[in-house]
Amino acid sequence: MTIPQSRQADLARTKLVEALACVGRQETDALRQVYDLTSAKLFGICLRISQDREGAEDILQEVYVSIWNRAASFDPARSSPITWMCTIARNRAIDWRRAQRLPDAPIEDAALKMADIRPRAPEIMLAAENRKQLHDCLDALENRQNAAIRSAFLDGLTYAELAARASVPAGTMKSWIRRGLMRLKECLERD
Amino acid sequence: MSVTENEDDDGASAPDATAGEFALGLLEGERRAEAMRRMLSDPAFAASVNDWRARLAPLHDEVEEQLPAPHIWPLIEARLGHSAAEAVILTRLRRWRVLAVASTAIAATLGAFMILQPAQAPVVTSSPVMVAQIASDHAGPLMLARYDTSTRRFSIAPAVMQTAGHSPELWLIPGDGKPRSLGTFDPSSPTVLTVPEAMTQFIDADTVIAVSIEPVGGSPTGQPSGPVVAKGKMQMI
Repeated sequence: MTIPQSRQADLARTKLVEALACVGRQETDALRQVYDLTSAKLFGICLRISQDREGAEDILQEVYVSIWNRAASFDPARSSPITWMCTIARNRAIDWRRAQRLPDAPIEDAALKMADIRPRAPEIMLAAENRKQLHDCLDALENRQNAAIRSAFLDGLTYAELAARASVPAGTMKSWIRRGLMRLKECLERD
Repeated sequence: MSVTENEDDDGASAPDATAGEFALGLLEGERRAEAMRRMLSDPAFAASVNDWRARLAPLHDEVEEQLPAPHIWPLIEARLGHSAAEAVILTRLRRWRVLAVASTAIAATLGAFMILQPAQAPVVTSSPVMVAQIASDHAGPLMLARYDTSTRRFSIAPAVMQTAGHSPELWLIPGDGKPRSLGTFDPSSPTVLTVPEAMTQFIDADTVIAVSIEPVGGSPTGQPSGPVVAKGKMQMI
């Protein structure tokens, strides 16, 4: 018998919240459990944004040390545990990337990348409904707004990098993103 | 609405767009600093940023999962209960064992006192090694220096420094308080240099390692002429 996906998501979330509570009490075994549940996801984020394996390994260590230090202040009523952890990983990776001042990728590669809308891997930790709604609303944006917001989020690019990749002035890119964000919000709040 | 937020002229609620930009990691410089202040002082803005994070979170599913190598967990475990600074040393030292082997291939920008290490001699890992954590008072540049007394090899791990138009210069400050230059270096890549025989007397457990920001090519006076941005004391390990 298969368990419905939403039920699986609830179970995974509950397990993670419980483990994080133990991490908050500085139980190393609990951190190991959290690591086993989440490290592939967080390492994927670190690697995608840093584009550097050694860098991503350093970032990942910092991320779990940060989770260790901050778990006691995590409030499950305010955010989902996996979102909280992904945000820590993403922010750390972006800080790292900014600090490296990576050279811009060649523009032809960038054009491909902007259009790259990946197939959506099934993921049980985030509610399927929110995911569908977000994708529907992103798809309802102009293509260029959709692609720019995705690249900013997934690759951690700066305005300058996004603008170079799309061959538009930074001001134009900024306008696409800001307007795109506001339309996205309207769409998500429509129901 | 403030002037800086009036950039968007399509009637959109600009503060919320700014919160979205911040959640995406797009704000830089002064706008980012301002957003960070507002995260602490403006609950409505902080709530808006959190809403954006939650809205966009499903996009994380599009990132391909990647298993980290098995040696990463022990490193994390070893860092628990250590201060952040100690943890950095542990990680970097581990890496330097690898780096030391590869160092003969690394070219560094060196000052007049320095001699490039030619490709030669395996590293003797059991010899007395000293390290210094070179940091500013307020979490600025953090570098690690490592000195191997048997090979006279001095390594500096890369650091994040804004040095456009200037050269960071490395100084030894022994017990007598008089700085001796080890030359300028490129902070963006690992630097390995060999300390001249005559300078080795200035390196012991009381020596302070300092970094000053100098005109390109190094201090014209032979003494630090620009601001000292970071310093730290040598210690035996």
